[in-house]
Amino acid sequence: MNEAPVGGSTASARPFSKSNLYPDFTLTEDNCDQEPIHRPVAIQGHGHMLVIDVSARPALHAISSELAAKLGYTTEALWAEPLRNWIPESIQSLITNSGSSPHLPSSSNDSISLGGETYQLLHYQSDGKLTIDFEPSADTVVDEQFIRTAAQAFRQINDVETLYAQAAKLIAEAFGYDRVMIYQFDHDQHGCVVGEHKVDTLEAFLGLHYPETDIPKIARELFLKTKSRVIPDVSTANLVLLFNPELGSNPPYLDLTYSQLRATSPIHIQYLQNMGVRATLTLSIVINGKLWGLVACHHYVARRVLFEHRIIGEVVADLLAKRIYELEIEKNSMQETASRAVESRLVEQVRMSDNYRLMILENASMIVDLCRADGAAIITLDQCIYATGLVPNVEGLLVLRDWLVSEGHQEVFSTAHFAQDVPAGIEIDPPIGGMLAGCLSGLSHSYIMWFRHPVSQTVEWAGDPNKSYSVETTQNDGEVRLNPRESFAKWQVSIEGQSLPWESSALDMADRLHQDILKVELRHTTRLIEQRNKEFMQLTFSAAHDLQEPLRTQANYFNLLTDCLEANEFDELPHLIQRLEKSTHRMSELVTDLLSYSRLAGENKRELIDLNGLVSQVIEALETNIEETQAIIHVEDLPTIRGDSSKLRQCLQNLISNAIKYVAPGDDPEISIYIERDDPFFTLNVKDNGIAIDAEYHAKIFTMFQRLHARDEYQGTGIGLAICAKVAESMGAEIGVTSASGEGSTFWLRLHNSQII
Amino acid sequence: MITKPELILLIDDSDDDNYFHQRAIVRSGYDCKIDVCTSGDVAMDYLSNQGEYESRGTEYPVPDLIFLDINMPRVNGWEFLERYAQWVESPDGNRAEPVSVIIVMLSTSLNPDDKERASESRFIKDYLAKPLTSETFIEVVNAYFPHAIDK
Repeated sequence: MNEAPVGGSTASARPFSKSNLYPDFTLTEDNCDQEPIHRPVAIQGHGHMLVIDVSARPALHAISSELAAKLGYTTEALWAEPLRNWIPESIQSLITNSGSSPHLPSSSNDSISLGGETYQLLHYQSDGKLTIDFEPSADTVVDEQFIRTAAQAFRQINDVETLYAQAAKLIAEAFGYDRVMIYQFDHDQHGCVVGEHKVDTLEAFLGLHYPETDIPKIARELFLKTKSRVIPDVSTANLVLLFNPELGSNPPYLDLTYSQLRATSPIHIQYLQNMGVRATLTLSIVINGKLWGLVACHHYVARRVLFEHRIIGEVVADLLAKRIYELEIEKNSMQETASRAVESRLVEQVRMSDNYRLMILENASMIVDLCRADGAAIITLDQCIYATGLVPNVEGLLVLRDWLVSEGHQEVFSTAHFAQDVPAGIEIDPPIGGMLAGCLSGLSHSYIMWFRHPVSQTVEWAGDPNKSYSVETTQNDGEVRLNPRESFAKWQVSIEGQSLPWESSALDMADRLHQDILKVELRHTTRLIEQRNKEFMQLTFSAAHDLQEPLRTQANYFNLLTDCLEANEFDELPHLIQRLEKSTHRMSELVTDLLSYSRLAGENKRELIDLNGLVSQVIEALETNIEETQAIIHVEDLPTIRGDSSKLRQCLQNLISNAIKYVAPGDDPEISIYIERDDPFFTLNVKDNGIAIDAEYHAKIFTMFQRLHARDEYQGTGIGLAICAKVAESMGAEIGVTSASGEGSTFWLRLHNSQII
Repeated sequence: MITKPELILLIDDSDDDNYFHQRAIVRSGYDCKIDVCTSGDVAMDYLSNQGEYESRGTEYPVPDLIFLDINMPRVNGWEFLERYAQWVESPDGNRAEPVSVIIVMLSTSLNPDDKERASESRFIKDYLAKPLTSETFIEVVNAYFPHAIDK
């Protein structure tokens, strides 16, 4: 970079270089984003500046280095001289009329001629100081009609892309710049050229991205305040500001935010020069009080635009902002209204449903679409997984869920860069690009998740965004210099493995849906707990009752035994003893079954279960029973499913042994085990040729200790089917029986297809 | 007026209890016929001459005294009483008029609600704890069959 020229010729002028453009701020590698560009102690070289302290008796506060000479004085002479003795008439009247209230820049009707050049006087007042910019006149003209032309043109455009292109074209034509870009800030403050108009010979920048550091936060704040900024010629040397010696050697900061002449950051000058740009005009696009973007006008030779014309530019940028807002709002509100309607219908259905999980399954594609995802999954409290579309495999889902739990995300978690944001070591298949996840209960490990495919994306940057600056340490004083990148050649960064970013509307939707489902799930959980409590009370009562019964019977037999022995009657004894043994055996059966039932309370595993293998194991366990009864068992080819295999084994063992047990006297049991598909469900059936079960008992038989037969007719504790029902519940399955007289019974388990592997 | 219970029906699914109760009745000295039904629905078939009892024809005995268990498979004691009430009020039931069957509920009396419920039933004359002994059987006969001849 060039050494910045020393401005001014007076002895008191401080030697000026870019490093002391700001008093007491030294650039280092880490603070370039804090460069106080609003208070340089210099102005652009094409104009002059006068700062009058009007807080008390008006006094000269600061003056740009060459103004005194232009007025025919030395700067030293002016400090001592009363204002009225030297100040031009037009400025004296500004001071007289200034009053005490601050005001934004405005032009005075008077102009002033100095050294053959005519200057327009622009003044603003803040902090008790009246600042007067002397801005040279220009011969470029912008027609005031342009405001009307632009307003009409914008109104007729109904899509943003055309609007950006057209706005760039109109502004380029009206203001005569070589290139006009509509530049939009992204959510992370990097920017992208969304509209462009340029002379044919220039390379297009449309679609290029620029890193956040190109327009740092402090610059964005300035643009929000000033609405327009002009640099007529980057190659003009700055002029230093000289402060009244009475202010001491460290004069207070002078905020030049509103000065039209404020010196430009040397880094920015270098940046423009590296691009070959010589003059710029920048207009702010402000929507809802936020800096949405900029109209960036570049010229490759020096170019001046008058203050009045810049105001026209500000107005047109404002019209553009309003039209962008209208079009975006219109688009969003139409989408919003449509998806809100779908959402509220869905939530209502889910809320009203007895089995809201099935309702969610039936509406799964809607849930996916509402967040514009490719797939979704719900993992419930009892480890059931409902999934549709693009989702990781079950292991992946469970690992993800555990990770979310460990991270303690209570709000919706979102990532469009799954591989980066979700820790390594989680192997996910199929590959996922982005995920949204919301917890469905504060206590449980229940989650709803949305997934998006990874997509190949190419982002074109203006130069390498990772090298937006180079750092250089000067030889003599160890000072750090930051040089903006010299190459703006198109730099393509291809992004793999990421999804398209989640739109804010998708995030809002995910948040609302997860809150809604959370409420339903909470209600469901509460009901479940109440039901479990009730079941537990009933179980305790029934268990005590059923266990007491054999005890009572034994006591009765012991009484009879005693009576018989006292009366010396021995005939009955063998019978009494045989019944006592039977009663003891029954008690031990009850205790064994109760124990198996209580074991069902353990956590559900999610293992792969080859049903063919599981059924073979059950048949092996029942071998003696099968041989004794000469039962025939047909097993069709069964799928592999997911669940807790030891629980499912208990269930199947009970169903098959029931099928063997409840046959009409004289018949040989014949049992078929097969699958039926009824999209989106499948049923696992155990069909027998046994005694039929009346329809009125079909529900009752699955409750604890319910038996349909007198004890000596068919053996049993009344716990077996209760165990089966409990297993079904733990798998999220439905259990039932169909039976018709003479056709035996078919016990079935109905599972959702997503549980088949 | 029936002078003594000639036919007694035990409705209970427990073979053991039926054994105890039959033994107690036999040992009480009364010469009664005792039938057993192992569930409420079988008992209804028995009373209304249906199901396995259909072949008995229209002339069938109505028991004078029923001992009814509560917990039974399929149709329990309470459900039996509902069906019994319907049957008694039906034209078919009236055929056996006057139905003056004495029903005594036998329970292991674990559940206090059952006793309360029994006292509210117009068909239940008494609510006794299992097992029925010869002594309690004699008390029942004395209470509800005052003119019974003691053998």
